[in-house]
Amino acid sequence: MSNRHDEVHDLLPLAAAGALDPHEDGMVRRHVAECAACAAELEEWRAVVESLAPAPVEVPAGLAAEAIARVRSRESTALNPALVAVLIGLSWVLWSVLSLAVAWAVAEYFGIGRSFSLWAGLAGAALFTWVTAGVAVMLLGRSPLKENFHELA
Amino acid sequence: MLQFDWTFPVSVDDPIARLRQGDLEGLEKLIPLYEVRLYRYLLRLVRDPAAAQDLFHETWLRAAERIGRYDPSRPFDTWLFSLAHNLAIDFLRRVQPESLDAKPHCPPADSGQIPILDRLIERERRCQVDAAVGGLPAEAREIISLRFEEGMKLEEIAEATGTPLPTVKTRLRRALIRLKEVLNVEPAR
Repeated sequence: MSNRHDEVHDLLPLAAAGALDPHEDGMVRRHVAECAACAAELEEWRAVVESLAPAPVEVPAGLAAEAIARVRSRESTALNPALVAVLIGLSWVLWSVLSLAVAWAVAEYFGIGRSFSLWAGLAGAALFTWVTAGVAVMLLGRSPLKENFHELA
Repeated sequence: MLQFDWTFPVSVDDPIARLRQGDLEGLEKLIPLYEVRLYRYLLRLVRDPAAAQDLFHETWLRAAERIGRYDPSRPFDTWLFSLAHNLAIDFLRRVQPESLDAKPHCPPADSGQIPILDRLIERERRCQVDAAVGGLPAEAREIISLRFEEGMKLEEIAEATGTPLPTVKTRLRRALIRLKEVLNVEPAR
């Protein structure tokens, strides 16, 4: 009996809060029907819970309207991930062609073999690819829509 | 750009469905529906009206960005409050501990036909309750707010806060014990 009493006693706060599972709730109900002390304490806990009822709150004027405006504003200025991807692709092509052209021109000017200029051009294209990709990652990383970009990927 | 679910069926009367389809009018209907509840929850958690206002806006921005991730089979309330919870917790971790000792937010007295003395007594009582709740740790304040002010079930609180259900029950019990000690509330006879 003592163990049951102690067990129920520990459950009284949650009983008052309506937070017991059906088994616990039934156990508490049966015990408080027989134990005046626990019944009285349960009433005390219920008074505590009742005091926690929602209180009026002063919502700042225009709160909802400002939230709507901010969402609309964010959408209108957001980066389009698809557009960013296209720009990255075009810049890669541009840099690759540019680096190959510069390597070929240098080779022609200094009389260097064309195979060397070809490799130099390819190396330049790879370098600019990494640079472009790194810049893109930094830009998208700062974008508030980076999560959307991950979803697209 | 918002993430939209083009396969989600559109219902003119369902603002959530409209938002998932990219219709911002859905958001314009949703925000006023949750204005009081969400602001009250954030205010209870961060105890600073200006911060609660900023977090309110951030919550809706995040909701608009992540609406594609929302599972329509789950309650929208739980999902929305989980976004707010994460933002509020990040805010509380950045704020200096001294600034958390905010003055209690005494709610306005109800107007109406209640005699003025009763209104003043009621306001004083609410102020005491608010101070007592404000003195709880943040995770306890949150559970008290979600359970008794927002009416969430414990399972919903566990989902919204990312906390195991047994932990929610333990924190709720401890919070009630502490509040009973502080408030010394007399049971109704």
